[in-house]
Amino acid sequence: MTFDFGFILQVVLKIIPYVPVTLYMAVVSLIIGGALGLLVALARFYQVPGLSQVMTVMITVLKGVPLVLVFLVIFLITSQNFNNVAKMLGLHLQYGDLPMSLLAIIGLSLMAMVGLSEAFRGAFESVKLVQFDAARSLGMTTGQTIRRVLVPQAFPVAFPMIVNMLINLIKGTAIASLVSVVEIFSAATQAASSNYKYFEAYIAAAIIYWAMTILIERGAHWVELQLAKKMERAIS
Amino acid sequence: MTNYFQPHLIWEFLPDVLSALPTTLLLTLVSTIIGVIVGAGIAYVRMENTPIFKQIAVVFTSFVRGTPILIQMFLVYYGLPMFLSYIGINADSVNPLIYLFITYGLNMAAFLSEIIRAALASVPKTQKEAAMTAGYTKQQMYFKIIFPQAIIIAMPSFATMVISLLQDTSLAFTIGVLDVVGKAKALGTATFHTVEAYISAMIIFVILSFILERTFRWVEKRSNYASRPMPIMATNPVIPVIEKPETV
Repeated sequence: MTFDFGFILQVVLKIIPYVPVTLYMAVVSLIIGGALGLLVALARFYQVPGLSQVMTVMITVLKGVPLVLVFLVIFLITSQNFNNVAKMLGLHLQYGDLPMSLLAIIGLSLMAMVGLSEAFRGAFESVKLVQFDAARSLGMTTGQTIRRVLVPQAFPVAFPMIVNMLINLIKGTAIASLVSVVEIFSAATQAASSNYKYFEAYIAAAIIYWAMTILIERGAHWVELQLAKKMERAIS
Repeated sequence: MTNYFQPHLIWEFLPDVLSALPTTLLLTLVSTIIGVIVGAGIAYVRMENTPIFKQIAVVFTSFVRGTPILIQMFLVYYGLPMFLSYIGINADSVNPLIYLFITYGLNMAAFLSEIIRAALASVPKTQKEAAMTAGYTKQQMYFKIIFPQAIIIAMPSFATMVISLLQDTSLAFTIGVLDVVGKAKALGTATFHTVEAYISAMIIFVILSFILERTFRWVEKRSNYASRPMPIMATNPVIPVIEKPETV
């Protein structure tokens, strides 16, 4: 076997069209997971009776489940039962009609929810208690306090962790390829299936992922600087 | 129809799936050890600014952090035999576990090097100066003053990394290693109850992660000197209280 530089370039060009799909799955999962994570974090932060304990148990359990198992179980359950359920509901849908990216989004949203709920909880803890006293003395309701005091101050603290999660989600999409979701990784495997130059193909995929991560990190760094400036102005 | 979901099978599969637990634990343990050793090396090279090595370390760390572990695994799996064949070694008989040790070990090394660097940097400089003033040798200074403090700082991040490594090992089945997931997959294929088998594997991972997390938290608590009451030493200075006269 010889190392084939030209083939790396070929594969890079072949898998670049899959970058938007990967980004789409990661960003949608980040938004869904972020929204759910925010609710979980709020429930736990305000210690809503009953709900808070349920969420704590749920997060502890989900934290321990590897992503690949989540994907495999979701994939198996949907592929075995979707047709029957659709028939029962009277929908003219077959399993094949279901976009595979949906499976990835469900699994990745769960992962994002777990990670971000912990991140938000940590960020909430960083908001000083006097802020809540001040909000209450101004007659703010809990909803107003969350919207105007808690979230705006917690967001800059949580921001690096949100970016980290986005990068982890992009990496997670590679795992989704194991359950027949088509994205960068599976496109690279596909490209090498005719000539068995898997090593070169995976180098190409690695370059794409690496470039995406670096760009996101750079962008996030810039946003962080802006956020820091804004916070400084708010304090002074 | 026997194909429907049968919850009792989850419990019946558990002992069988558990029989693959040593592989998963071995993977985690060996990779952590490799990660600590190589990671400390990377941190050292980066802190000492060793030319060339430092640049390699920077690129390596960035690469590992920027690419999915699945790709790293396949790069090692396909790349190492290629590299070995160049130097005339046949890699056909290599145990696939070796590829996994290398992948997960190097992955851990990259992440741990950052943690180690941050921890060492966060020990206040005054500690070093104090040690020098007290006449410690460099070795004594590191082993008695700097490392004990850095380890306590690094502990929570280290725990997070080990737990996420444990979960990453669940990908080992993709190159045909019979770890917990691989075993569950084999059981599932044999019995046509794959979902139940995977749920057994999930339960094992949840319990393992929980135990690991609790253990690390316990160790953290035990080793946190700051939260313990200060021992009263014989040389404690006694600050004399001078009472102010009542009337001026």
